[in-house]
Amino acid sequence: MKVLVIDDEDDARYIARVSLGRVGGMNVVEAANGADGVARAAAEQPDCILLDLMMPGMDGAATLRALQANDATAAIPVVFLTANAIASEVEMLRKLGARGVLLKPFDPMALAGDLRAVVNDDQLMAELRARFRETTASRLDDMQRLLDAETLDLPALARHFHALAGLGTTYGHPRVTRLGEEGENAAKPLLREGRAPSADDLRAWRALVAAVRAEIG
Amino acid sequence: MELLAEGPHEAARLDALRRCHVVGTEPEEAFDALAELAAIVCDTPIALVSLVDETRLWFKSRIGFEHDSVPRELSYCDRAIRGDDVFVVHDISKDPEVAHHPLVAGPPHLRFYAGAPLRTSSGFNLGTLCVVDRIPRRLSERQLQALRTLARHVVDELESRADAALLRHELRTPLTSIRGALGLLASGAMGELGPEARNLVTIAERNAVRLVGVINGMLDK
Repeated sequence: MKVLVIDDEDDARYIARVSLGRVGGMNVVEAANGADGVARAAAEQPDCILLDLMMPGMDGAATLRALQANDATAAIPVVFLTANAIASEVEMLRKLGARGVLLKPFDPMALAGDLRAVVNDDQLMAELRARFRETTASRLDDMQRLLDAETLDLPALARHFHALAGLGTTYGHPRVTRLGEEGENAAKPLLREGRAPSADDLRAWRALVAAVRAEIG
Repeated sequence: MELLAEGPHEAARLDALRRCHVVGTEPEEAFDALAELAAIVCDTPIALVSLVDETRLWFKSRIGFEHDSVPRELSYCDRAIRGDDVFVVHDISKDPEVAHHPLVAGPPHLRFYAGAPLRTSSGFNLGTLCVVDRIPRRLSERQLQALRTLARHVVDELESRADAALLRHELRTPLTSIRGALGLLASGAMGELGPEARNLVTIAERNAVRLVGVINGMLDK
């Protein structure tokens, strides 16, 4: 896991570097101000950014906005590290789109674990799920085209069902896994025996594709 | 249309506003009470603690008004913070520049505005305490005086937020390094220490953690 630490305090940055790198086993890159941080984020493409809130000039909130406005950095999760732990402000930082908020002073032996927990938590899963839904939607379009073609490419269709079966549960859609298995199981004997699918087979597969589409919304 | 203020003074003013750590936060009783008093004293249905950030007026408190922010351009608060005293428009419908403003031309059809600048001790007007009505109005000298006084109290609240945020930052920043460095040493992450050194570092770390707890208890309310 590669993390970019943006903090104007040299000492704080060094402590974070040791805590995340030497103790936490992360690959750490640093920036000493917001503008530099945005540039490094674009160049280094870290897995997450640990961002100090109170910095002179471009503060943490302004830096987050700049990161969000830049296509090259918008998808990188940002976790604030703040000494200003009042509840109303923590709430505001979340509304700005921060993945999480960690507090200063921190336990140096726990910082990497805390950061991993915040980044890997449900939020990252939510993003991965969103991506799964996108790729599945285009996969379903592909399957639809296969089913609508003059001659069915059965191995290709079976591969798609197999992929759905494999991915569904991982991304929180066990029903997609079951539907994928059903499609794959129906295709297997035909592939084995080299038989052409019947009209009923085609109807059943179309229904499965529609059901997966409904499931992922 | 007036251009937004720019230049070094505006940048410093926005910095001063950011240092208060108030824009975007939830409503608070301290500000609501002052806005409410302004509405009562001036006998208007609407009163706002309006903070002027780069592009919008953001309302820390809003009595009788549904929007939590409005664009800065064409706003009277933007004009009010350019002056030193209460900025009053008795009848907005007679101001051709603002007549087409959505809040004037459409509901709630604003007709009266009086805004006292929120001037900090460093001389930055962060926004206004303003009272607004749907009918043309005049304020008495006593009402104007009350509005100025209440505005000073709003500034006191804002400055106390800025002071508290600075204190939190100034206390916790060195503590972060102290607690961090000692924690790394005591854990052995930086290599094994001799038994006596280790004992001393452990004592120092334990007390740093204790100090963090004390300071957190004092600062986060």
